[in-house]
Amino acid sequence: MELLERFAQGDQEAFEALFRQFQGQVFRWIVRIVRDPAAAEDLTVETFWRIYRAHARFRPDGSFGAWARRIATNAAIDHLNRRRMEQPLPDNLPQETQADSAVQRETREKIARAFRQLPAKYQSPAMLALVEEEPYSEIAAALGISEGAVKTRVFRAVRLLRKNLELLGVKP
Amino acid sequence: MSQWNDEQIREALKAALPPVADVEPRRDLWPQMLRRMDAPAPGIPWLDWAVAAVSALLLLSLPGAAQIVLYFL
Repeated sequence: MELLERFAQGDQEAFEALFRQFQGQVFRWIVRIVRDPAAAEDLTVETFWRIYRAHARFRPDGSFGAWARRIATNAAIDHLNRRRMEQPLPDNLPQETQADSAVQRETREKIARAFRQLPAKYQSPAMLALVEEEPYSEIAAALGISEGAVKTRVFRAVRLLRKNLELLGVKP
Repeated sequence: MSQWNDEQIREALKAALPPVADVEPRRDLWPQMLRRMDAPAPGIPWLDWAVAAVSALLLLSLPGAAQIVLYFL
C-alpha cells in the first residue's frame, strides 16, 4: 500500500516517514512567516500534530506537501496572533551590519515594530509577498484564499503599515 | 510632508526584516513529536468556554454583530 494511503488510515510508521520527509520543508515555510527559528521548530511540531490528528481527512490522491503547507500557515498565523499581544520582535534572524548607524538601526526597529502591529492575517501574506517574493498563487494556496484576496490583504497591509509608520514619526 | 510610496515600503521592510536564507531545524524534531503524541490531550480551559458562551449570547441578542465579528476574523 502506498505511503499516503497508509498515513490516511492512521499508520504511525507512515506518519513518521512523512514527518522525516517534510519536516524541513514545513520548518522553512514557517520560519519565513514568523522569522523566529526557535518558534518555528515548535510550530513545525504543532503543524504535524494537527496533521496527525487530521489524517482521516487527508485524501491520498492529493498533495501532502500542499496540505501540510496550508496547515503550517494556519499554525504560523495563530502564533503571530498570540505574539502580537505578548512580546517584542525576536532579533536572532536579521543580522546587523557594522556599517549601520544608530539612526538606521532605530529606524529599522521602528519599521519592524510597525509591521508586527499589523493583524496576523495581513502580516503573513505581506511578509511572503513583499519580503520573500513568493508568487501570489502559492500564497493563496497556503492561505486557502483566492489570489485576489491575497492582493487585497497585501494592499491593506501596506496601507496600515504606512499609517503606523506615520504615527511612529518614521519618514522615508 | 513626504509620504511612503509602495516601493519605499517594500524596500524598508526588506531592510528591517531581510528575506530568510535557507535554514534548517537545529535538531531532529521527531523526539519532540513523539512526546507530543504521547502527552494526554489537554482539556479546554474554562476561559475559552466563557468566551464562547458570551459570544453566543451576544450573537443571539444582537444578530447584526455577526458581520462585525466576521470582519475581524
